[in-house]
Amino acid sequence: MILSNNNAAISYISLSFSDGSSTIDIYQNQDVAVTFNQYGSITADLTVHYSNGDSFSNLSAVFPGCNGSPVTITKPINNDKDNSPFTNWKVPYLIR
Amino acid sequence: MKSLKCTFCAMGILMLNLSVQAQTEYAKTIDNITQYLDKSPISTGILYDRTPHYALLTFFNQFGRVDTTNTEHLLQAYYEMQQSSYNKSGFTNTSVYRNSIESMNLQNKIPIMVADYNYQTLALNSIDNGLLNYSNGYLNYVSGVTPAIYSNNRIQLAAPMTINRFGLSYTFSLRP
Repeated sequence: MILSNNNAAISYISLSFSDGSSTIDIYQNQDVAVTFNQYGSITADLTVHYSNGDSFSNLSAVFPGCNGSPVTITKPINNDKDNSPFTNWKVPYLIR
Repeated sequence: MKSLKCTFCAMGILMLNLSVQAQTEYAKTIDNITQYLDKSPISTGILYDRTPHYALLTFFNQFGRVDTTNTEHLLQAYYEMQQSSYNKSGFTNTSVYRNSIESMNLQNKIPIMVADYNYQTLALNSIDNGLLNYSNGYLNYVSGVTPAIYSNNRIQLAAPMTINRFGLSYTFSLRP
Protein backbone atom coordinates (compact mmCIF):
# COMPACT_ATOMS: atom_id res chain seq x y z
CA MET A 1 0.00 0.00 0.00
CA ILE A 2 1.82 3.05 -1.25
CA LEU A 3 0.07 6.33 -0.51
CA SER A 4 1.68 9.32 -2.15
CA ASN A 5 1.06 12.62 -3.86
CA ASN A 6 4.46 12.84 -5.51
CA ASN A 7 4.55 9.75 -7.73
CA ALA A 8 7.17 8.17 -5.51
CA ALA A 9 8.51 5.08 -7.29
CA ILE A 10 9.59 2.57 -4.69
CA SER A 11 12.11 -0.05 -5.66
CA TYR A 12 12.23 -2.17 -2.51
CA ILE A 13 12.02 -1.99 1.27
CA SER A 14 14.52 -3.47 3.73
CA LEU A 15 13.26 -4.64 7.10
CA SER A 16 15.28 -5.71 10.12
CA PHE A 17 13.39 -7.03 13.13
CA SER A 18 14.29 -6.41 16.75
CA ASP A 19 13.82 -10.05 17.76
CA GLY A 20 16.75 -10.96 15.53
CA SER A 21 14.61 -13.27 13.41
CA SER A 22 15.65 -11.95 10.03
CA THR A 23 16.50 -9.10 7.72
CA ILE A 24 14.53 -9.08 4.50
CA ASP A 25 14.33 -7.10 1.29
CA ILE A 26 10.86 -6.96 -0.20
CA TYR A 27 10.12 -5.75 -3.72
CA GLN A 28 6.86 -4.55 -5.22
CA ASN A 29 4.25 -7.28 -5.71
CA GLN A 30 6.33 -9.66 -3.65
CA ASP A 31 5.55 -11.70 -0.53
CA VAL A 32 8.26 -12.66 1.95
CA ALA A 33 7.73 -15.14 4.82
CA VAL A 34 9.10 -14.39 8.27
CA THR A 35 8.95 -16.48 11.43
CA PHE A 36 9.48 -14.48 14.59
CA ASN A 37 11.36 -15.76 17.62
CA GLN A 38 9.00 -14.34 20.21
CA TYR A 39 5.44 -13.27 20.91
CA GLY A 40 6.36 -10.04 22.70
CA SER A 41 6.80 -6.60 21.29
CA ILE A 42 8.70 -6.49 18.01
CA THR A 43 10.04 -3.40 16.28
CA ALA A 44 11.14 -3.16 12.67
CA ASP A 45 13.86 -0.92 11.32
CA LEU A 46 12.71 -0.10 7.78
CA THR A 47 14.53 1.52 4.91
CA VAL A 48 12.53 2.45 1.83
CA HIS A 49 14.60 2.54 -1.38
CA TYR A 50 13.32 4.58 -4.31
CA SER A 51 14.00 3.83 -7.94
CA ASN A 52 15.97 7.08 -8.26
CA GLY A 53 18.41 5.99 -5.56
CA ASP A 54 16.90 8.03 -2.72
CA SER A 55 15.91 6.36 0.51
CA PHE A 56 14.52 7.02 3.96
CA SER A 57 14.40 5.07 7.20
CA ASN A 58 12.16 4.89 10.21
CA LEU A 59 11.37 2.53 13.03
CA SER A 60 7.97 0.93 13.35
CA ALA A 61 6.34 -1.13 16.06
CA VAL A 62 5.19 -4.30 14.27
CA PHE A 63 3.57 -5.81 17.33
CA PRO A 64 3.19 -3.17 20.02
CA GLY A 65 2.19 -5.71 22.67
CA CYS A 66 0.57 -9.07 23.28
CA ASN A 67 -2.89 -9.84 21.99
CA GLY A 68 -5.52 -7.73 23.66
CA SER A 69 -3.09 -5.47 25.46
CA PRO A 70 -3.30 -1.72 25.09
CA VAL A 71 -1.20 -0.16 22.37
CA THR A 72 2.14 0.86 23.81
CA ILE A 73 5.07 1.46 21.57
CA THR A 74 8.29 -0.36 22.27
CA LYS A 75 11.55 1.44 22.67
CA PRO A 76 13.25 1.86 19.32
CA ILE A 77 16.22 -0.37 18.55
CA ASN A 78 18.63 2.47 19.16
CA ASN A 79 17.57 3.70 22.58
CA ASP A 80 20.29 6.31 22.66
CA LYS A 81 18.55 8.26 19.95
CA ASP A 82 15.15 8.07 21.54
CA ASN A 83 13.89 11.18 23.21
CA SER A 84 10.94 11.03 20.90
CA PRO A 85 7.36 12.10 21.51
CA PHE A 86 6.33 9.14 19.36
CA THR A 87 7.60 6.48 21.78
CA ASN A 88 4.31 6.44 23.65
CA TRP A 89 2.14 7.64 20.82
CA LYS A 90 -1.51 7.03 21.66
CA VAL A 91 -4.32 6.20 19.29
CA PRO A 92 -6.44 9.30 18.74
CA TYR A 93 -10.16 8.70 18.74
CA LEU A 94 -11.09 10.80 15.77
CA ILE A 95 -10.36 8.14 13.15
CA ARG A 96 -12.15 5.40 15.12
CA MET B 1 3.57 38.03 19.16
CA LYS B 2 0.41 38.54 21.18
CA SER B 3 -1.71 38.11 18.09
CA LEU B 4 0.13 34.91 17.21
CA LYS B 5 -0.61 33.58 20.67
CA CYS B 6 -4.28 34.46 20.13
CA THR B 7 -4.28 32.41 16.95
CA PHE B 8 -2.70 29.42 18.68
CA CYS B 9 -5.11 29.86 21.59
CA ALA B 10 -8.05 29.68 19.21
CA MET B 11 -6.57 26.59 17.56
CA GLY B 12 -6.05 24.98 20.97
CA ILE B 13 -9.64 25.56 22.01
CA LEU B 14 -10.80 24.02 18.75
CA MET B 15 -8.68 20.92 19.36
CA LEU B 16 -10.27 20.29 22.75
CA ASN B 17 -13.69 19.45 21.33
CA LEU B 18 -12.84 17.48 18.25
CA SER B 19 -15.16 15.16 16.40
CA VAL B 20 -15.39 14.43 12.71
CA GLN B 21 -17.78 17.36 12.33
CA ALA B 22 -15.55 19.54 14.47
CA GLN B 23 -12.66 18.47 12.25
CA THR B 24 -14.48 20.04 9.33
CA GLU B 25 -15.24 23.09 11.44
CA TYR B 26 -11.56 23.33 12.33
CA ALA B 27 -10.61 23.47 8.65
CA LYS B 28 -13.35 26.02 8.02
CA THR B 29 -12.06 28.19 10.87
CA ILE B 30 -8.50 28.08 9.57
CA ASP B 31 -9.78 28.80 6.07
CA ASN B 32 -11.63 31.80 7.47
CA ILE B 33 -8.57 33.09 9.33
CA THR B 34 -6.40 32.71 6.22
CA GLN B 35 -8.97 33.86 3.66
CA TYR B 36 -6.97 36.95 2.65
CA LEU B 37 -3.77 35.02 2.02
CA ASP B 38 -2.75 33.96 -1.46
CA LYS B 39 -3.21 30.19 -1.73
CA SER B 40 -1.62 29.83 -5.14
CA PRO B 41 1.82 28.95 -3.66
CA ILE B 42 0.24 25.86 -2.02
CA SER B 43 1.30 23.70 -4.94
CA THR B 44 0.71 20.43 -3.07
CA GLY B 45 -2.92 21.28 -2.36
CA ILE B 46 -2.25 20.39 1.28
CA LEU B 47 -2.00 23.04 3.98
CA TYR B 48 -1.24 21.07 7.13
CA ASP B 49 -2.49 23.92 9.33
CA ARG B 50 -6.03 22.94 8.32
CA THR B 51 -6.03 19.96 10.69
CA PRO B 52 -4.92 19.41 14.29
CA HIS B 53 -1.47 17.80 14.42
CA TYR B 54 -2.06 14.63 16.42
CA ALA B 55 0.48 12.67 14.36
CA LEU B 56 3.05 15.47 14.78
CA LEU B 57 4.25 15.06 11.22
CA THR B 58 6.35 18.21 11.22
CA PHE B 59 8.42 16.72 14.06
CA PHE B 60 8.71 13.09 12.97
CA ASN B 61 12.34 12.02 12.46
CA GLN B 62 13.43 15.66 12.72
CA PHE B 63 16.28 17.19 14.69
CA GLY B 64 18.43 14.06 14.40
CA ARG B 65 15.90 11.94 16.26
CA VAL B 66 14.91 8.42 15.27
CA ASP B 67 11.17 8.13 15.80
CA THR B 68 8.91 5.11 15.86
CA THR B 69 5.70 4.92 13.88
CA ASN B 70 3.10 2.16 13.95
CA THR B 71 -0.13 1.15 12.24
CA GLU B 72 -2.34 3.65 14.04
CA HIS B 73 0.15 6.48 13.71
CA LEU B 74 0.57 5.93 9.99
CA LEU B 75 -3.19 5.81 9.43
CA GLN B 76 -3.55 8.97 11.49
CA ALA B 77 -0.84 10.63 9.38
CA TYR B 78 -2.73 9.70 6.21
CA TYR B 79 -5.98 10.98 7.74
CA GLU B 80 -4.34 14.30 8.55
CA MET B 81 -3.02 14.64 5.00
CA GLN B 82 -6.56 13.93 3.77
CA GLN B 83 -8.18 16.42 6.13
CA SER B 84 -5.74 19.19 5.35
CA SER B 85 -6.05 18.72 1.60
CA TYR B 86 -8.19 21.21 -0.32
CA ASN B 87 -9.19 18.37 -2.67
CA LYS B 88 -10.01 15.08 -0.98
CA SER B 89 -10.96 13.18 -4.12
CA GLY B 90 -7.62 11.37 -4.31
CA PHE B 91 -7.93 10.02 -0.78
CA THR B 92 -9.57 6.87 0.55
CA ASN B 93 -11.40 6.61 3.86
CA THR B 94 -9.04 5.13 6.45
CA SER B 95 -11.69 2.56 7.39
CA VAL B 96 -11.18 0.95 3.97
CA TYR B 97 -7.48 0.46 4.71
CA ARG B 98 -8.26 -0.68 8.23
CA ASN B 99 -10.64 -3.38 6.96
CA SER B 100 -8.13 -4.49 4.35
CA ILE B 101 -5.36 -4.75 6.94
CA GLU B 102 -7.57 -6.73 9.32
CA SER B 103 -8.58 -9.08 6.54
CA MET B 104 -4.95 -9.69 5.54
CA ASN B 105 -3.87 -10.14 9.17
CA LEU B 106 -6.51 -12.89 9.51
CA GLN B 107 -4.60 -14.75 6.81
CA ASN B 108 -1.30 -14.15 8.68
CA LYS B 109 -0.35 -11.56 6.08
CA ILE B 110 1.17 -8.21 6.96
CA PRO B 111 0.94 -5.50 4.31
CA ILE B 112 3.61 -2.83 4.34
CA MET B 113 2.26 0.69 3.97
CA VAL B 114 4.26 3.69 2.83
CA ALA B 115 2.97 7.25 3.13
CA ASP B 116 4.98 9.80 1.18
CA TYR B 117 3.43 13.24 0.94
CA ASN B 118 4.63 16.69 0.09
CA TYR B 119 2.69 19.31 1.98
CA GLN B 120 2.91 22.89 3.08
CA THR B 121 2.51 24.75 6.34
CA LEU B 122 2.25 28.39 7.24
CA ALA B 123 5.72 29.49 8.28
CA LEU B 124 5.45 30.01 12.03
CA ASN B 125 7.78 32.99 12.06
CA SER B 126 5.82 34.93 9.45
CA ILE B 127 4.34 37.25 12.06
CA ASP B 128 7.58 37.68 13.99
CA ASN B 129 9.35 38.40 10.71
CA GLY B 130 6.86 41.14 9.91
CA LEU B 131 5.39 39.38 6.90
CA LEU B 132 1.91 38.85 8.37
CA ASN B 133 -0.21 40.42 11.04
CA TYR B 134 -3.28 39.14 12.82
CA SER B 135 -6.16 41.52 13.33
CA ASN B 136 -9.94 41.22 13.60
CA GLY B 137 -9.68 37.45 13.31
CA TYR B 138 -7.76 37.40 10.06
CA LEU B 139 -4.18 36.98 8.94
CA ASN B 140 -3.15 39.70 6.52
CA TYR B 141 -0.05 40.64 4.59
CA VAL B 142 1.82 43.52 6.19
CA SER B 143 2.79 45.07 2.88
CA GLY B 144 1.17 44.97 -0.49
CA VAL B 145 3.83 42.60 -1.73
CA THR B 146 2.98 38.92 -1.33
CA PRO B 147 5.84 37.37 0.65
CA ALA B 148 6.80 33.72 0.93
CA ILE B 149 4.82 32.58 3.97
CA TYR B 150 4.56 28.84 3.30
CA SER B 151 7.08 26.17 4.24
CA ASN B 152 7.54 23.14 2.02
CA ASN B 153 7.58 19.83 3.88
CA ARG B 154 7.62 16.13 3.15
CA ILE B 155 6.50 13.27 5.36
CA GLN B 156 7.82 9.79 4.65
CA LEU B 157 6.57 6.94 6.79
CA ALA B 158 6.69 3.17 6.38
CA ALA B 159 5.24 0.49 8.61
CA PRO B 160 4.20 -3.15 8.59
CA MET B 161 0.46 -2.83 9.21
CA THR B 162 -0.84 -5.03 12.02
CA ILE B 163 -4.15 -4.84 13.83
CA ASN B 164 -4.45 -8.47 14.91
CA ARG B 165 -1.81 -11.01 15.87
CA PHE B 166 -2.31 -14.75 15.73
CA GLY B 167 1.06 -16.48 15.67
CA LEU B 168 4.75 -16.33 14.93
CA SER B 169 4.84 -16.86 11.17
CA TYR B 170 3.71 -14.19 8.73
CA THR B 171 3.98 -13.23 5.12
CA PHE B 172 4.98 -9.62 4.49
CA SER B 173 3.69 -8.13 1.28
CA LEU B 174 4.33 -4.96 -0.68
CA ARG B 175 1.57 -4.01 -3.09
CA PRO B 176 0.94 -0.74 -4.91
